[in-house]
Amino acid sequence: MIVERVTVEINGQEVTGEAGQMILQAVTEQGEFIPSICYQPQLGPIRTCDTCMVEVDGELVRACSTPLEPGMRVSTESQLVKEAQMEAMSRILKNHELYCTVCDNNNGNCIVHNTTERLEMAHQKYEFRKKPYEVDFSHPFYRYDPNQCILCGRCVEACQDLQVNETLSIDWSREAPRVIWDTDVPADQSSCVSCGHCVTVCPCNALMEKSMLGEAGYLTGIGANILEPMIDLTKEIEPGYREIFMVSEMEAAMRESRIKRTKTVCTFCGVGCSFEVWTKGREILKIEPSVDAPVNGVSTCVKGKWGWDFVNSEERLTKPLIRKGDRFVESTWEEALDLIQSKLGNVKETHGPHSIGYISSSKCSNEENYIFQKFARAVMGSNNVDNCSRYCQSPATSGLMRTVGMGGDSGTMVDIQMSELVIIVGANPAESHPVLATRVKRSHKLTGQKLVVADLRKNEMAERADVHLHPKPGSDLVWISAVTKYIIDQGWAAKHFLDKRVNGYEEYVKSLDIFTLDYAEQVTGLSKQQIIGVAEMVHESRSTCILWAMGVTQHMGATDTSTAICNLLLITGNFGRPGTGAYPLRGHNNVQGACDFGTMPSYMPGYEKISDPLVRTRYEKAWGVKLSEQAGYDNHQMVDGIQNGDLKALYLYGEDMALVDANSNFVEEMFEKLEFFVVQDVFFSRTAQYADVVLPASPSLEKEGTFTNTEKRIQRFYQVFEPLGESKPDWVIIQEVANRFGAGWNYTHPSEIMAEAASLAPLFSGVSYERLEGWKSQVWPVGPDGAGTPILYTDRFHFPDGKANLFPVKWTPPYKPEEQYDLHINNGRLLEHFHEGNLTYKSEGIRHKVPGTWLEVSEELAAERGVKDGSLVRLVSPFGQVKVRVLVTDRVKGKELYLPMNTPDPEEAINRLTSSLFDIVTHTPNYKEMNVRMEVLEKDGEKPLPRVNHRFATRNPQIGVRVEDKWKRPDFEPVMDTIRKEGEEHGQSHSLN
Amino acid sequence: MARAIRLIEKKTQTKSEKQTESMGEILKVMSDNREAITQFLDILGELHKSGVLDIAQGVMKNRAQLGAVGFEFIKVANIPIILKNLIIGVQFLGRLDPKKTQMLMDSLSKGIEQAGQPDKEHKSMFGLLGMLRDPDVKASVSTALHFLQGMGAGLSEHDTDADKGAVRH
Repeated sequence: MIVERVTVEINGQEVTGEAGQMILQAVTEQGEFIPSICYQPQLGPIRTCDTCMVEVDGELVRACSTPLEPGMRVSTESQLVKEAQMEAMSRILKNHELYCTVCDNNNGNCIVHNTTERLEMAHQKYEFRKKPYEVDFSHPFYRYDPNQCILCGRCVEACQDLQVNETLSIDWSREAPRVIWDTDVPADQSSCVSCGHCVTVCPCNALMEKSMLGEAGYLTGIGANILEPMIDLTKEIEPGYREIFMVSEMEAAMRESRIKRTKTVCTFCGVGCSFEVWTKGREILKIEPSVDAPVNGVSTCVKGKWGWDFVNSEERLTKPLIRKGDRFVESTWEEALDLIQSKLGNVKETHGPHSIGYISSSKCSNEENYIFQKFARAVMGSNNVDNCSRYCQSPATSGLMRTVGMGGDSGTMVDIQMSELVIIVGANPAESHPVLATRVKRSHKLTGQKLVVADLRKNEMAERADVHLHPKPGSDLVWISAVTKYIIDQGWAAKHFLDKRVNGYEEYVKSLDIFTLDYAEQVTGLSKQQIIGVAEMVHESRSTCILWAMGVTQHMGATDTSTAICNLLLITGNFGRPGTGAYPLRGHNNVQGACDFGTMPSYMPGYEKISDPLVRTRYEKAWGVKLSEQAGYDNHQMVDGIQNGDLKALYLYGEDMALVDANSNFVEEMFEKLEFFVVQDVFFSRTAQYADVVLPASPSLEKEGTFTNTEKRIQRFYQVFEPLGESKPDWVIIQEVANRFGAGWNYTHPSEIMAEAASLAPLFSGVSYERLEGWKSQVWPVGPDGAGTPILYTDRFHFPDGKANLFPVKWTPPYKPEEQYDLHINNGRLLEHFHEGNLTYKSEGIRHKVPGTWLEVSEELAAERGVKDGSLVRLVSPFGQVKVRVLVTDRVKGKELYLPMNTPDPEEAINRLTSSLFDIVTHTPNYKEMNVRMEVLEKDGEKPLPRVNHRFATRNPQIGVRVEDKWKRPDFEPVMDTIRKEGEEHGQSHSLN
Repeated sequence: MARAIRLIEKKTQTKSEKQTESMGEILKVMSDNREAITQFLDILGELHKSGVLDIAQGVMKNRAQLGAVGFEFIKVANIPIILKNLIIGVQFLGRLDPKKTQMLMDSLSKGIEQAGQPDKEHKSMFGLLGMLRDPDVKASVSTALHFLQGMGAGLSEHDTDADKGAVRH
């Protein structure tokens, strides 16, 4: 893209900047300083604080929102500018008491503090006045102090237009304006989703993490009876702000040695947010996001911002456990490793290398996945290695590999954000990928991006969508193919693109014959008009992204539906350009990386086939062993293998398979049959209960490594704490186990493992820890020079001839049990909890918001069956049963139920109901295809979701902070007018030249 | 067959085991810092003998009440004003040019020396006026007059500002 340059004069110097760039950015790039309190790069100009006033050709303007124009003369230093900035700052300090030394926000990054200091402000012009409101302490995670609030509106902008949860606003109509939640309710009772954006962007201490209060400073823990007189005394004797600032600076400097700041990458979903963790000893003071973070900037969700209490939980495993009779006994590492060596070695001796299965973790690092598959293959001689992507994303990967050649997102979140049309199929990113969802919500709200959502539930994205499709369960392939056919029939296909870059057009078009509008209407329940409407939207948009997740991939026809999505994108030319592409949303933080680094039964790291002799030779040479060419078992086949007696032992880490695999009754029964079972985890999980040896592992905050997010972006995380008790990082444990089997490894740091992987897998050849330092990241494929590939397929698709393939697919009707099971049971995630909940239920604040799971029942069905909020019901499927409490909601319709998967309680777990059926191509379980019958056990009971949950509140949407309303207030006077008036009183006049 | 079990037998340390472990750790740190610790204990002993520790103990134990009383005392005893004057005084000293102060101070000490010498004869009124012709006396008097002039200007500037009622920064 060519950027037009313009030349302007800044303080007498000629400066060239980009056309359309704001003065503030141009000046800042020159290394000059303009104060700016309300401006934040991700939020853009807010125009409430007026501290960035500069003089342009004699007029005062806001630098944050005045674009460069050729030849303009800018002064940032004139007397007029200085007076304007002082006036603006004085107005801010009228709303903010400076007691920095005893303030928990005095950590060197307080914007109000730093700006007052930079302006060399000596005294306050307007007296500080408290506002007539109490401090709001209601929310479990943060507090709002109206008295310290400078009304800059950053929090409101972040809530309304960045997170787009639309809870916060400033009520400018009051005598004393303040930030309000919804229609002015306590924060805890509002629609606030606890994402933390507002707290993060607050430029002072008005919105603060409760975990910081009384903890960050040396003097901030002092009680109010001393603190208040202390502040009064300081104010009374104050020589001027500058001296006070010196004291507070010294105090802030002292805090540096006791508050440790460590960059980490979030582990609660596949979006890959990075941020700093601020700690004091083993205590987490706060999560501090940064605009430098490549994926999220200042964005977080409730889990990433507040969900880390589990690290210090009493329930953490701190010693190895060995099964002895009816109990586990704590042991030493020596004893545990001895036992593994003898038992696992024995199984291998007796039954051969293929009698052991290895299940890796999508929550653990790339390096850990790499050495785990190396352990299985090179040391134990088996390709029986798989990870939990088998439960979610394998069909998406397969669909992509069939059509475009690479098993990952075709672009980054930037492309999703800039796309003209986003189609979400069977995914609920507002809860499962919250920060990614914010980008869609923002574009949809502010830049007119169109949004189509196909989902059984009216989830938040569906509520916001231009079109919400509610197809019959499991029929997505049909309507997607019908849309594609309609587009071709109308002559809207991207002919030039297809001619040059795609194979198999004729054959594919023929395969679409069956997908007429009539057929689609009959199978999907959608109207022809709806299908035509979507086709028209795709046709009219210059760029389309399709996002999908487990609503597509957890069906028997999952790979085919994923393929149908890719076909639609190919037919319309939506690959290889900015703003286009296919985006399977990876669920866990490192689902992508686990697959990338080879914990798959038929692929070596970097998606090279184990069956390829050239590939094997490369690894055999490097590892000095002979590798088995026989593809291994996947997770599903391992469980089957136990049943038919082929598989005798299992080594599993970082995965609660007993709860998350489908048909969990069966899986647990199989675990009981194992001769030997090693489980390695942070907590004593449900799966660990079946183990013979349980090894205590350290979570991400206690080790180093890299994760790869859904965009294929590799990011480093650093060690925050020492491992708790005797727990160890997974890579250390795997190495110790491997060395018991003669591996002779001596990795001393994960960077050495990554260096080895990068030297062997061409996909990652330029990946290195140096290139990933701090906030830096790499999006694979990474060439030897370290350059990544944010957009795939710009020149060629990943096939030998460089062309994509249209891949004909047929619809597989979903599984349906017999008539007595009359209700469809859908399942998925909750915003507040992660996976089975081992981690997030440890947070008291999150439990306060969501104490457990519930069953969503439609209003119609509730009336028919006589159930209401809090009723206890039993759901029975042909495979098992659960007992849950009801929540009646219009998010679900008719005879469709929804049961969130996030519970550690097997009595409530969805997988007690699901079957062992699976996607025909990848063996991913068909979690989303089950019917149940419902028995009412108790009519009355406590509502399973407390009143303080955001789902019960009503949002208060508006665009931004509405600064115009501030300007309309009778007591508002533009800064320029004030200065003029005062100048006249002083008998001075400001020359405007 | 491996049934699911939840029972974990933890090797819990007994109180005395825990104590022995902590003691070991403490002894190690102590022996690593033998000299510093011995000296510190000596100082501690002296503080105890002199009763300083008693006072410190009293203060620490009652810090919350004492703090509150302390601030009350500060208010009653007009200490903020003393502190403020102190700060202004210090700021005043900070603004003086050390060279000039040196010169003035030197002159002052010479003056004191001279003043301390007994008059040889009793000076008449005319005699005193006559002394004004002395160049040294003239220099002294004119410095004093300049000082008064400058101070006067300062005072009237302050008055004008106060009249306007707005302090500009």
